[in-house]
Amino acid sequence: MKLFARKGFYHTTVPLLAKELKMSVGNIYNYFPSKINLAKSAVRFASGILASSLHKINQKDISAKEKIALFVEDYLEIIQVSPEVIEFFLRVYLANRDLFEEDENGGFQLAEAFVKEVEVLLQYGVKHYEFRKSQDLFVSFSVLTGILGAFTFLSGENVLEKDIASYRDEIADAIYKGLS
Amino acid sequence: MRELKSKEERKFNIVMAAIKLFSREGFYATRVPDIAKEVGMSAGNIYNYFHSKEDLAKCAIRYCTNVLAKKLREINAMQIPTREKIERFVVGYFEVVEKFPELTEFFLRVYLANREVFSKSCDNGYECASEFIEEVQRLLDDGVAAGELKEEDFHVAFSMMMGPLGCFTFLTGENVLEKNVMKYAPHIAEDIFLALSQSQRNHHKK
Repeated sequence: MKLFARKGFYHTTVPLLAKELKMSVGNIYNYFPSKINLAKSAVRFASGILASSLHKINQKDISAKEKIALFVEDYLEIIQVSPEVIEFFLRVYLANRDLFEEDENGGFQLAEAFVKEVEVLLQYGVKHYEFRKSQDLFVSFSVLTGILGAFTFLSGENVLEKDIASYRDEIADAIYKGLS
Repeated sequence: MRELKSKEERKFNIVMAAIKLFSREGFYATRVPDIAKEVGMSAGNIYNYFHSKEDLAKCAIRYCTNVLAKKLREINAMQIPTREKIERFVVGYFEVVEKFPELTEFFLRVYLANREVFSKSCDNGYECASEFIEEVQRLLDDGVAAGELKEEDFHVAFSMMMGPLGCFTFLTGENVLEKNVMKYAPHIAEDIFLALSQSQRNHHKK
C-alpha cells in the first residue's frame, strides 16, 4: 500500500512490492492472485481502519455530536500518522476506478463495513433528535466524508497554515450543523 | 487580431484533446504525439504552444477550474440570499459533471493521481485553481457580511463546500445513486448552507 500510494498503481510492480516486503515474487502471488486483487485488499484495509474507528465510537453512550468530534479526531490522526492509507485511496482507487469496476464487487462495496457504520451513526443521531429526519443517506454520507476528504486533499497540497489536528472542532461543528 | 484568436482557439483545442486523452489513458500513458494526432497537428507544433506535457496538464487544470469559477462569478454577482447562491452553484456544478464528465474525471484521475507532477513546479495545483478559489472566498465573505454565514477558517469552509460535491461526483461514478444526481442538489445545498450558517437550526421551524 505504501508503494501504491507513493508511486501509483501502474508504477508499482509486484517485484517492487516483493522487495519492500522482503519476500519472493512467487511467494506474493501465493497470497494475492494479481496486483488488482492486492490493490482491492488494500482498499478494504484502508476503509477497514476507518470502519473500526467508527465502530468503537458507535458503541459509546454519548451524543451524536460528541461521536462526530471523536471520529473527526481519529480521522485527522490517521492522515497524520499514516497518510499512505488515505493517499492510497485518493491516488490508486480514484485513478483506477475502471479496474475495480470489472469485478461485481465495486469499490463502494469494498468499503461496505465503513458505510454501514456511518449509517449507524446517522440513525443514532436521528433517533436522539439531534439530526434532521428523513435525510438521504448519500447526502449525509457526502457531508460527513466529503469535508474530510477535501481536507485531506488540502493537507496533501501543503496549504494548511495550522497543525491539522487543531481544525478538529471547526470541522466537527460544521458537519454537525449540516446534519442537524 | 485574427491570427491571435486562432492561436487561442488552437490552444483550446489542444487542451481539450489533452483532457480527453489524459482522463482516458492516464497522464503517464499519454504521449505528446498522441495528443498531436488527436488535434491533427505535428508533435513539434504542440511545443509551440506548451513547453511540456506537465505544462499542458497544468493548463488543463486551470481550464477545468475556470469553468467552475466563471459559473460562480455570475452567481456571486446576483442580489440573492447566500442560501440561494449555494443552491445555484450546486446545480451548476452537477450540470458541468453531467455535460463534461471528462473534466471531473480528469481531475480525479490525473490530478489526484499524479500530484507530484504539479507540485514539482513553483505553483502547485491548488494555485492553478486560484480564480475558482477566489470566487469561493467571495461567496463566503459576502455571506458572512450579510450575517448569514459564520466566520470560520477558509480551508474548513472550502472543504465543506467542495467536499460533498466531490464525494457526489465519486458516487455518481460508482453508479450507486438511486436517483438522478440533480435530484440530490437541493438537499446537498441545504446541508452545505446549514453547515456554514451562523446559528444552529431551530428544530421547530420547518
